Amino acid sequence: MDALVPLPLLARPEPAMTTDPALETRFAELVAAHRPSVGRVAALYARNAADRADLEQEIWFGVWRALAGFRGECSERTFVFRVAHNRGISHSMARRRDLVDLDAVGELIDHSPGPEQRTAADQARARLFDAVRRLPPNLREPVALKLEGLADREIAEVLGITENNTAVRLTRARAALRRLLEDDDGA
Amino acid sequence: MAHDPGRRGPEDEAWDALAEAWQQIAPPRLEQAPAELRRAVIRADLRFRLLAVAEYACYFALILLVAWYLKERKGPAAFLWGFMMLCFVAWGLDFAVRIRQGLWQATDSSTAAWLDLLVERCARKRRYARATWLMVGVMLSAMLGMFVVYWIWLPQAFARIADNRWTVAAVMLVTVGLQWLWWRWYMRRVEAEARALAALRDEVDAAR
Repeated sequence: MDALVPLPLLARPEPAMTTDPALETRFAELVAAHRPSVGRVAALYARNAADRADLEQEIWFGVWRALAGFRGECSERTFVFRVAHNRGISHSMARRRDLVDLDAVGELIDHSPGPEQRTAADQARARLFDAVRRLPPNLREPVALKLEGLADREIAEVLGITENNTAVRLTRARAALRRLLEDDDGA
Repeated sequence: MAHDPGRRGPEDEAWDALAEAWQQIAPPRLEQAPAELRRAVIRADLRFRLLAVAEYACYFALILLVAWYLKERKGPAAFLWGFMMLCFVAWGLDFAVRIRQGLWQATDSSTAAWLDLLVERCARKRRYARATWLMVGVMLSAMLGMFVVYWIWLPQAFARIADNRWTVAAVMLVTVGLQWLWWRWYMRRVEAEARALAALRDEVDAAR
C-alpha cells in the first residue's frame, strides 16, 4: 500500500537524543545572532503577543530539533530563516487564522509606551510592519527576508525557487508594499 | 528578461532604505532571557520526546493486554478478536511512527519543499483514515463469517450467540458508530488543513 512508502524528507534519520554541549553552544550562538530577526518573523505570522511568544518558542524548538542534522548545505542564517518561515506557515495553518489583524500590530512590535510619545520614525516603522503583514503570504515571505538583509540568492534558497523568480516576486511585492504604504498615508 | 543580481539600481536603494527601517523595528518584547529561552526549548524537547514515548507505551500496553487476553481465552472467536485487535494496534503504531519520522529534520527544507511535505502528510493522513474503514470492514466480515461457520458446524455455540444476538448487534453498531464519529471529526480537520495548504500552494506555484 502506498501509505507505507517513506517520503523522501520524512525518511531522513532522526538524530539521537542529545545533550551535546557543542550543540548547545551552537544553539546559544544562533539565538544570540538571530533572535531579533526570528522575533520579527514570528510577529509576522502571529495574531497577538501571546501567540507570537508561542510561535517564537516553537521556531527555536524547530531550530534545536533540526540543528543536529544541519550539515552546512546552506548558511546558518538561511537555515534559521527556513525553519522560522516553515514553522510560521505550519503555526498559522494549525491555528486556522487570518494573519491580518490590524489591531494586534501594536502588541506585536515594541515602540514607545503611548501614541503621544511615539516619534514619527516609530510610526513609520509600525506602518511598514503593518504593510508587510498585510501582504499575501507568497509576497510577505520574500519581502520579510529581503528586509532582513538576505541576498536574492539566499531568499531563493529559503523559498526553494529560482533567483529569477525571486526577483519577479520581489518586484511585485515592492509595488504592493508601495500601494499599501501610500494607502496608509492617504487614510 | 534575466535578473542581474550584480547590478544595483534605484529599486535596490529603495529596498535598502526599507530594510534599514525594518531592522530598527524593535523585536517584540522579549520576555525570556536567552538562557531561559534555551532552557524552555530543551524542556519542550524533553516533553516532546516523553509524549512520543508515552504514546508508544500506550500501544505496547494494548499489545500486552491483547496478548494476555489471547493467553487466557481460548477458541476461534477469542483468537479472531485478538488477532484483529493486534492488527488495529499495529496499524496505529505504524502511523504514529511514520507520521513523526524525520519531521523536525525536514523543518529546515525550503518553503516549497516544506509545503510539498505538508501536502504529502495530509494525503498520508487521509489514506490511513480510509484504511481504518477497511480494518473495521474486515473485522465485521470476519465476525459474520465466523457466525456462519458456527451455524453450519457448531450449532450449540451458534445457539449461544443467537441468544445474545441483540448484544452482538449492539456491539457491532457501536463499533461502526464510533468509527464513523472519529472518522468524521478527523477528516474535517484534515480537509481544513488540505484547503489551507492548497491555497498557499496555489500562491507559491503561481509565483514559480
